[in-house]
Amino acid sequence: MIRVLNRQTGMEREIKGPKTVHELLREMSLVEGAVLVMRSSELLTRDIRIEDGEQVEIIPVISGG
Amino acid sequence: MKCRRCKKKAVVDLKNHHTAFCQKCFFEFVERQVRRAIHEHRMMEKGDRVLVCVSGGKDSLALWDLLCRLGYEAHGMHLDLGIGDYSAHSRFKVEGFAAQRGLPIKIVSLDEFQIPIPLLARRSRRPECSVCGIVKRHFFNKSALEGGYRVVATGHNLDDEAGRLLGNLLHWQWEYLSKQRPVLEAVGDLLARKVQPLCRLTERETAAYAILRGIDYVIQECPMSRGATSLRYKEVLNLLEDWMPGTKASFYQGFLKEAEKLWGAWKTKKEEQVRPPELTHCSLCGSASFADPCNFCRLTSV
Repeated sequence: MIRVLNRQTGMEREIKGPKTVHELLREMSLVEGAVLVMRSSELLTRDIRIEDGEQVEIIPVISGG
Repeated sequence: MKCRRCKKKAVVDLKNHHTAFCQKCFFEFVERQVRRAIHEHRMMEKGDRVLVCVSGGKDSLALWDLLCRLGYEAHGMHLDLGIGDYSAHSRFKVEGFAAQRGLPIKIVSLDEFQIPIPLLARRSRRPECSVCGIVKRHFFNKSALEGGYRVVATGHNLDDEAGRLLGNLLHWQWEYLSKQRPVLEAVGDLLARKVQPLCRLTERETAAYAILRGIDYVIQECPMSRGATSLRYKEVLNLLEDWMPGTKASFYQGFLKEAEKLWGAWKTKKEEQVRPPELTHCSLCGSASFADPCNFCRLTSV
C-alpha cells in the first residue's frame, strides 16, 4: 500500500499501489491544479510511479478567503 | 517527464502551459512571468521603494523573495490579525523569513489597538473576510504613505483574481469589476499605487516556487476562511482547468484585455446618471475615503 499524508490536515490514508501521481490523485478525487505531491523532499510530476510501501505527501495549494 | 528547455529530469509539470521544468528552468520561468507582469502593466520602475504585504503564506513570501531577486528595494509589512494561534504562527514565519535574509519588516498588531478580527466581525456582524479586507487596506495604505513607499505589492495570484472575477460576474458587481485590475494607480497623497506582480502565476506555481526555494510558509488555512465563497469559486475554476488546461489564464487575461472597452461605455453611462463620489480625507483618522467617516473608522467605532 502507498501511505499518503496530507500536510495541511495531518490526515493519513492508504492507497493500493503501484500508481502514477496522476492515478493516485484521480483515486483520491483530487484535482491536479489544487495540490502538489512530494516524496521525501522531492516534488513529483504526474507521470512518476509510486510503489507499494512508499510514502508521499499531498500539499494543498488553494488558499484565501 | 523531462524539462522542456534543458531536457534534465523535470520537477514541476504545468498542464496549463503544456510543459514541465527542472528546478533551475522553473525558477527562470517564474521570474520571467513576474518581470512580464510588471512590465506589461507598468507596475513599477527599478529604484522604486516597494512595500510588500506579507501574511506568512506562500504567495506573499514568494513575492517578497522574487522582488528582491529582481532588484527592487522591497520592504515587508505584516499585519498581526489577532486570530489566536494562527496569527502567532503566521507572524513567526514572517519574522523568520525577514531575519534569515536580513530584510526590513514592519509589524502592526491589531491586538495592540484592541481590534482583533474576530472581535470586529462579532461586533459589526459582518463576515470575517470582509472585515479583514477593510482593516488590511487601511493599514497597508497608511504604512505605505507614512513610510514614503510609492508602491504597495500584494501576493494575489492568477487563481485569486480569476476566482474574484468569477464571483463578480456571477453577481454582476459592475462597481467591483471596474476596479479589478493588477494595478490601481496612486491618487495624489491619499492612496499609494497597488500592484499584483504574481497575477500571471497560478497558486500551484507559487507553492512549487516557495517549496523549491526552501521558503518556510504557513500551510494551514486561516480558520476564519473556512467555507468562504471565494474558495468555492477557485474549486470550480480548478475543475474547468482540469478539463480544459489554460482556462483560468484565458478567462482573467481575456477580461483584462476587453475590460477597457467595457468601462468606457459603462462609465459614460453611469456618469450621465450620477456624479461619482470624490475621494477625500476621513475626518477621524485622516485616511483616504469616499465617505466620512471612512469604512475603517465606522467598523472600529461600532
